[in-house]
Amino acid sequence: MAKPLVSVLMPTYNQHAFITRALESLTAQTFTDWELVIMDDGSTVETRIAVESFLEDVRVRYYRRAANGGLGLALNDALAEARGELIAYLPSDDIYYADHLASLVAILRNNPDAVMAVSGVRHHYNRSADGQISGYPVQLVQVMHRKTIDRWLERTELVTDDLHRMYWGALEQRGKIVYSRRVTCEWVHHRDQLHRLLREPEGGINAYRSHFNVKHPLRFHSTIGNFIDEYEHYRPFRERPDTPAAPDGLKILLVGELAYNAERVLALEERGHKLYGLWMKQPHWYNTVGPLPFGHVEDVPYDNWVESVKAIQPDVIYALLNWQAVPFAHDVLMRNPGIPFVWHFKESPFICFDRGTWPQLVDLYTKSDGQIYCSPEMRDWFAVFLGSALDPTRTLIMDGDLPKREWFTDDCLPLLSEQDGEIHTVVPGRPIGLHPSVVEALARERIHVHFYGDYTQGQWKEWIDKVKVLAPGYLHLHPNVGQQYWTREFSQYDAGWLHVFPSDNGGELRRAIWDDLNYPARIATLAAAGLPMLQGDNTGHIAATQALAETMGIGICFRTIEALGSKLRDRENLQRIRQNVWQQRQQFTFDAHADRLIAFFRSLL
Amino acid sequence: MPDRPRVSVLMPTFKHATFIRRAIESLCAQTFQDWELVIVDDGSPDDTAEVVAPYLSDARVGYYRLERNRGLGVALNEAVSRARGDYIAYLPSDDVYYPEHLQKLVTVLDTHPNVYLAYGGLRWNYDTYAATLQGDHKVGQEAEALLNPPPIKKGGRLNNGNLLALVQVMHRRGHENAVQWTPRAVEESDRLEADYWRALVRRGAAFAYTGDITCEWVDHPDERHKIIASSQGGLSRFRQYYGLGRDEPLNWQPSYGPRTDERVRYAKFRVRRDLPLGDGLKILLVGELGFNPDRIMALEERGHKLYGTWMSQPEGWDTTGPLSFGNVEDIPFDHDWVERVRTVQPDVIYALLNWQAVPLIHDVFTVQKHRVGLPFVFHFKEGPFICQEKGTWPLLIRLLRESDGQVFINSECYEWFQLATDYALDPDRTLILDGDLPKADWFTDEWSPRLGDPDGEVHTVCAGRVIGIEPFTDLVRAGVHVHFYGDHFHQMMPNLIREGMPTGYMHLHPTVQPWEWVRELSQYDAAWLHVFDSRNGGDLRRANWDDLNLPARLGAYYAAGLPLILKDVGDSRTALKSLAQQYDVGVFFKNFTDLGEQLRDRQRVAQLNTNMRTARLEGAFDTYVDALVALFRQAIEGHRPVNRRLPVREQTGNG
Repeated sequence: MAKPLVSVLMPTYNQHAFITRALESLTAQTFTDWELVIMDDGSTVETRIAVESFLEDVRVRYYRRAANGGLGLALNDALAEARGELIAYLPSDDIYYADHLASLVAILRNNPDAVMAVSGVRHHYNRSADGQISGYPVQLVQVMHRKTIDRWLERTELVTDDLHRMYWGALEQRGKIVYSRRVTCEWVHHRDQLHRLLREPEGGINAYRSHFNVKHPLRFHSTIGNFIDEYEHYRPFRERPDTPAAPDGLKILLVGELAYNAERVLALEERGHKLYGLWMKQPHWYNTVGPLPFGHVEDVPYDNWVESVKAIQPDVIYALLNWQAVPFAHDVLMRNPGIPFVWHFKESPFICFDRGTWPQLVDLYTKSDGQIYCSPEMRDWFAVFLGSALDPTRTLIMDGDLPKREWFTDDCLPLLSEQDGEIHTVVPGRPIGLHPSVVEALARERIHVHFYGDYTQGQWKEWIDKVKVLAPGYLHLHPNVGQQYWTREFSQYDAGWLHVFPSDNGGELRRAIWDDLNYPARIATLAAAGLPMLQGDNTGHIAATQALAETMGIGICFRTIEALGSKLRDRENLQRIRQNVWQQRQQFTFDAHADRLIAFFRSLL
Repeated sequence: MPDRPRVSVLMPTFKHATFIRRAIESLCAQTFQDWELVIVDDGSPDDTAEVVAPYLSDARVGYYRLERNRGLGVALNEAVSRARGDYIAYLPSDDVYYPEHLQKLVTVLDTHPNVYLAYGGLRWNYDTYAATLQGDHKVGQEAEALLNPPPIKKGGRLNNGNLLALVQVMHRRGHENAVQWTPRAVEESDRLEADYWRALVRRGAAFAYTGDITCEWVDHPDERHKIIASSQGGLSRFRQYYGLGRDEPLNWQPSYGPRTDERVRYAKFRVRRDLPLGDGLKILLVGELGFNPDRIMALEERGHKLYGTWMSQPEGWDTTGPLSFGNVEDIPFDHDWVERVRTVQPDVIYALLNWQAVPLIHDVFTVQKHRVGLPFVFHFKEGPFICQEKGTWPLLIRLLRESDGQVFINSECYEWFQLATDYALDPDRTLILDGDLPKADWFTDEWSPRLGDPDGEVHTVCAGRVIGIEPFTDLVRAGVHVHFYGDHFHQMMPNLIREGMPTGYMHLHPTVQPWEWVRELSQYDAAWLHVFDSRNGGDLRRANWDDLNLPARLGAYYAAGLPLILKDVGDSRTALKSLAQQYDVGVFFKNFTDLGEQLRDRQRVAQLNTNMRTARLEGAFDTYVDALVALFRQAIEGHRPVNRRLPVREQTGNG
């Protein structure tokens, strides 16, 4: 058979409801000298059935990888099978209009020095772009290029929605790009598009992992979020052998999602307990679900989980943690085949009100066997809803996403303030309450603000621009810092910021809002580095973080920025608080509470 | 019985078992303790009674239960009639008092004899704090604020003009005989509270603010005013949430959204019938009915017995049971569903209609396939693109491919799906029938004289959402009058009204009800649909929903024999264009000047008008009923029951 001019590559994964439309649009092309390489990236059998009738066309070839390997690998495999001198892409959820191939072939013919041709594209249902869509890389469906030896970046190297980084960038080095300026294809807008799965906040590393059931750790960097390297980060955990079961070790079934600092659960495994995971679907970026990149947790398949759980016979179900997990945790609670069920909830009852999942949340509190509250204030807040249904013997107070103790290292750096004599503070996350005028006032007191996190900085662009004008030289931007560097990096600062907010509840629980009840995850981050924690003085109100800071002597509360300035200049006092934090910092690791948690589980059995 | 309390706190409640403890607890924690609590449980189906029981040991707490839900107005009147206090306060069971709430209110009333109603400020919308629902600046201007409510806004948070939530109010007694809470028998509306305060104002009642924020109006999706008038609310959602039976038609008067008096609208369809008759089928409707739901009476008239399994959380235009007309028996999709269906033994499932219903239809399809094995006919309207956005596209495709019969709303939709599935659909199992055509009963012969005849002007009509009729000044220049029907559509187009009304060419009319369609609409020369450009160039692969859709208002235009005003879309294919060409009922215009000229061609317009009158029954559901039933019978014959010995799935229902 003669070699075709164009090889159309079609990577596909479980899109049998879309693929026939893509294929039909190819067979309707006015240009017919093509071959199609379908690379089925480990789909269930429905995909094969859906393409069956197209295989009668000798131009169509179908290959199936036994297991899903990711877009880059599927495309490299398809490239290896391609015989045409020109390569086009037709992802199985997209479509060509009838003259798509013809128009791209024509402009490549007319531009011998071009390596890549790009068509206009319809996108987001009814919008169109005559070339690259603003805010997105050039999409596969709109490209035709000459065949080269370049290869696609694969999942084991990096997961990203940045196709330029995956391939186009290399191609660009080899010649120019030409544009047809005609809309001849559609990048079909739908919920399960790969880039939506990859982009935070609705998508992200957990959405990706869950959708493709990726069992290995990931290097992940969407065009929105922070770079994450799970290979290196979790290597010490992953590569150690499983802990042998303790004689009285429990079988613990984790249900829902683990959120931040997910590897903390290994503290349970280290104590000889066996962990299983049954995870929610469609997690948001920070809802950590399995397959877990640090190992030692055995996943229970989602489908038909009741049977699997009956077979495992766990001693306890430990369901957690944030509002996204409530519907699934509720489902498990209601269909639970009689296993003691512990519910641990963090953020937040108010979101459950808003989403209409409040009745489910109340079931989780009233129909479970044990309940864990993240702060005493939170418990008291729930108590008014639960009445006698809140049984103190069946409750525990423990924060939801405390880190693993390994990240609390001892490699402190010298203080920045000792170099320049000014005061340096750190914001590891959203600068909540630090309005530009506040930072301006801080600058007057010669207090610097170091703001960490590329993702958050992206969301706070406007704030950054304003602050730069109002407080020149006093705002410093730093990239995100991994847990392993918390102590080292943040120990340079004099103090760290919690959320700054004015409480308005007057000591009245019914008036409390989320800020009043919550322990932000960053408390542990600051504790790891032994930093005094800064917050607005809410004396006279219920404020969980202030109560905690006062009890432990780890915080600085202030009413005015001037007052804060003088407190921070009191080096002796500052040093005393710093020592307090350092001495008690283990309390902010999950490990410090693991035995208490297990004892709580046992008390319910 | 203890002495008369100073304050009677009225707590109407329905389905709030997960909220009510906090409400009562917040009352018990008041600094002011001379109160009684009058709980009126408006027929809650949950364990409200059980949750409340421990509080009844307090002699101040009384619990009265209405056997079935009778509506907030009735529950409040019931509570008032039981109240013995000098003052009346309200504590809806999902809301909260702060401890000094009653104290502050009592103080105002005690010290200001001229004040009839006192209110505290409130927290609402999670973290909004204000003296009134219209902000702090209405303090002292309560009467004016109630009598001249702010204009209604599309997407507005509170369009009912209310100023005070129940939770923030305490008032004297004295107007009780003259001013009562509007009972359901009069109307159901989210204006209930505003109407009551307004009636007090009209009787001269003075209002006063305590000056402190002392309570919370708790925000959640199942609040009554949201169930009535938000984008997630509507008549069917209300009927479902409150569990209204078919013998309880409502006079439905939301502040925002379509209004209808079911008692009038469905009067002729409220006849009892013993069904099925003769060889009539037992048909299980699954999903929702969209617009013109009374069309299904055409099936009852032909002797078929109808059952309904309805989607939950219907939105504004999804019609679901419990229906207030006909004899449709509901089979909820719960744990008993399979048993109920096995007992009833329907002959066929008729699943319909829009994207919101697709998840339920798919669940029913799956469960019945494995456990019952019924012939399944699927009728789909709007729309494939929304299913893609919502992630239900795979479910939709499965329903189309695996059902025993498919109904598409027009040939363009049918062909679009054939392209999308690469011709997987068997044409012999399909029918073309628009999704929500009206019942033929509304196609009366009450023709009106043409409005344009005496004055020689061109009068057009738009009886639906206004899309693309702008700039209005161009129409004025072309000498074309437009009559816009429907109060709730007017609410959506304040700018256009501001532009159009001074020209004398824009005319606003209230919603036109089906029984008025012919009499009212036949006065006009032609009728507006959505005005849109199409760019598919004749290739349906490039079509969008405008190209494929048949707007629901078409039924009214058919009934009134009105020619259709459509933008000339050149060589593009659209369903409306095909329809207008098929019956030669279309005025295809390039611009508004061109449109004016065409509409002044009286002979041509008269011809189009005659054509539409001749064709009009093509727009009635009844015309297609026999074909639809034939499709059902074909599905029944062609359906191979599944092997019942196969292992069954362990779970039924929404679970």
